Amino acid sequence: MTPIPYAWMGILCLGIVWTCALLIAGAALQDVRALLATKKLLGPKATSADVSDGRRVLLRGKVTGRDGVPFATHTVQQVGRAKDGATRAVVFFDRAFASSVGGGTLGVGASMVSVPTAEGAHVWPDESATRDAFACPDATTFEATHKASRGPKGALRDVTTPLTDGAEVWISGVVSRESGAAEIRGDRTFPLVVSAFDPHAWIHGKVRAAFALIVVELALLTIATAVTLVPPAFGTVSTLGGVLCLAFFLGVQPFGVMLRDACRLPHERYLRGEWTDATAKVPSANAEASVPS
Amino acid sequence: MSAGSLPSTRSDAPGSGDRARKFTVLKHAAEIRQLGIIATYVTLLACMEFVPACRNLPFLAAACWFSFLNAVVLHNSLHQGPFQATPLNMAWRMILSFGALYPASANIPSHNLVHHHFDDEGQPDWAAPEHVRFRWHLLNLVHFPNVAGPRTFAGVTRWATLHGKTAFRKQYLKEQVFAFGLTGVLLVHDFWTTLFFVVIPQLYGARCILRINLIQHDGCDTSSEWNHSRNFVGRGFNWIMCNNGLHTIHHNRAGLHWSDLRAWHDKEVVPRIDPSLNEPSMVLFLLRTYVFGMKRPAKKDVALAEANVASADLASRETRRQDVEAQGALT
Repeated sequence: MTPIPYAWMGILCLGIVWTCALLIAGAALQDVRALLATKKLLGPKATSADVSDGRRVLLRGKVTGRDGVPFATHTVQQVGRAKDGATRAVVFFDRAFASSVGGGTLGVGASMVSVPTAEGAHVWPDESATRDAFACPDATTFEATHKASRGPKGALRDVTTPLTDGAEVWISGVVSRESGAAEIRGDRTFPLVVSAFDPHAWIHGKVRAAFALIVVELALLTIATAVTLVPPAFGTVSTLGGVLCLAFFLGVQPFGVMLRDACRLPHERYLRGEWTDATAKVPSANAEASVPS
Repeated sequence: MSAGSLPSTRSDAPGSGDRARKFTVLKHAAEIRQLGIIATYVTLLACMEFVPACRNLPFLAAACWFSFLNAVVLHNSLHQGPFQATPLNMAWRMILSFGALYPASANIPSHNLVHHHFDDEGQPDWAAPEHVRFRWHLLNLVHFPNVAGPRTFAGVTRWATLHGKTAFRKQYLKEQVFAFGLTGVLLVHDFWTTLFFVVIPQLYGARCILRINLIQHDGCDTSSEWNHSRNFVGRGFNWIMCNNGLHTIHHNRAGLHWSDLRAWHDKEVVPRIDPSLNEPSMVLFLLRTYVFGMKRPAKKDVALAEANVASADLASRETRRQDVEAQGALT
């Protein structure tokens, strides 16, 4: 039986690593396509509520809720599990995501648009606001959570980020005047979206990140391939190229997954996170209370 | 065990010990098959690494196939180690880890806990078919390990930091050091030979066992009790695959020894599963679905098949998961 020429095996290996890289790039392009489709569904930005009935638009304004209820709320249901280690810590896993729109009014320029209570709406909270809501409020809460996290069911909690009166938001929906006054709702193609930040800018940022991944990934592999092909074949420099290609193959895959996760729409953005003893806030009511040691 | 009845679902049940007592080292006589598979695989790798005449296509193809079987044996062994003695099972895991170029104990959180219950604390299985979504279905099959692999290792890393996992972390580290260390030594010894004739088979098997998740679950209803998996029921195939083609019953009764799966599949799965999920041949299925079929097959309501059949004595998924957690990482 004739041994396989090493040149053929080298071509096979380069084929494998390039196939992997192109598939990761292809998956990144899928993310781009999905994001641009979402941007289209959100509708174009409108500077006033004077738009044609039935047209999907993205309005910006300040909200007022109803009867003391937050205008909109985003909730991440989490389960906390105790970590091993010298410092006590609880690591959180996201179980589910929920959005609710209590409704109210959106002030757009001089006009007011009514926002009814919406089932199935998407609330896109500001990431830093969600992180603030996630933070451990005090040492007592940490102790109770840590104790529960050591049990089989873990420590269940909800991280709630409200959008309250006066918050500046972007709302995507269909404006109608059936009842005389302007009202914005979701439609069959896409639900009502209430966002604490400019959704178009967010999407553009993610699209740029996806293209950056594709360009950097293929550039790195091109360099590694070029080094591999430096003659003599399988010489010192070529072997260095082989090492680079192997490292690329093993190392590139997580970046595709990281991009996919980063492109999750904000109402389902992963929060996760961890509490440690050092991060439990001291209760403001008792200046001498200390973080558990 | 009375005539005509099935063995208990527990590996230490009455009757199973009789067969094992003939072999004081192995838990079960059938484990010889798994030992033979691994011995063959390691021999193929060693031959290609150290004997230039063995670096040919038949050896390479055989090594790739046996690498996949190594991953199958790894899967079986992480459900039930083949040896009576725990230290032997731990050493066995190291050899399997080298064969697959990933730490075998990763299967405990990724496969035994998360995949078997299609759930990661409310989020999808790390190897769920939905993670890939190319329109050309063959690309999904090729790309799947690029997604399931990193998700799995990220999930394992998070899980390993949790309270009570010290023993797991120690074993996991040993397996990483052995698998990557030995492969690294071989790469330093002869980079290109090792890359072509050791690493390629290692990665082939590891990536194919990830692909199996797509093959066995795409188009199935993972929320159902009996129609969550696709089975490949050919007898010859299952002989060499140590009955890993019988996937539904394995999911539902993970405590069964792999040699007992056929009887339980015939008794419990066949009456409750949609016939389309019992494929006679994996090769024909792969050709039909991924080569000759361009698009992903449309989903069908397969769970209807179990709607009018009496339920089996099966604990809930949550209970089964708690049993696996309680079993611990070292068996």
